[in-house]
Amino acid sequence: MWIVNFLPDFIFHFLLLAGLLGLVASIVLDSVPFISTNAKAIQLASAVVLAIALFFEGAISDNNAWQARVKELELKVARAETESAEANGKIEKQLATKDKEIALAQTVFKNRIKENAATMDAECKIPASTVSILNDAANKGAKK
Amino acid sequence: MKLVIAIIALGLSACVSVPVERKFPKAPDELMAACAELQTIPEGTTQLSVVVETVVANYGQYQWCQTKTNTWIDWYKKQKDIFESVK
Repeated sequence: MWIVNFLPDFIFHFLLLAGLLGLVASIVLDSVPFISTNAKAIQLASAVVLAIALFFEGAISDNNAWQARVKELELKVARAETESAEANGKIEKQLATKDKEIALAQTVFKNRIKENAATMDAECKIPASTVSILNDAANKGAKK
Repeated sequence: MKLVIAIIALGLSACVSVPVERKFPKAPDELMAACAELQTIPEGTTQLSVVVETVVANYGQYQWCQTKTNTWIDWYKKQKDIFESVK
């Protein structure tokens, strides 16, 4: 409620008090000359002030409840963001480990191929069609 | 007329904006990178060792992409749980 945020709370407390006092004064202090002559007007004005003040007292209470809820949610969101960052950190570590494992395995396989290259190449000659099929499978599988 | 203005002002006094802002979680940079293209065998190759080397490299490429896909699934599940925990 912007008006509640804009104006300090004591204004509405003061209005409530003024409305109550005005209403009580217009009823109780009817022996006082000014009040007795304007009792109806004071009662009406006090009732209006009291009604507005009560509305805003309710609004302040509601606003405070919402502010508390907002703070609670902000805390939860901050905690969730921290958890999210921690989860990302763990995932990054897992990825780095897996990347190293794959790179290491690749090195091992390359070395094994080098060791056995002479035997492989002596026993088997690859026809051009085989290369073509493998390359097409590598390219067209993704591109279609 | 004055009463109408007063009622509108009173009604508008209840307007409120939502102050809690939530940011979409950022995925790790490694996951945001696209998978590389598969390697092809140099044209005119007749050596089996060259073919095997390329195939092995492509297996490695697949394993990295498989890891990334599985990690994406894991990331999504974790972030969804965290997101839904805020109520």
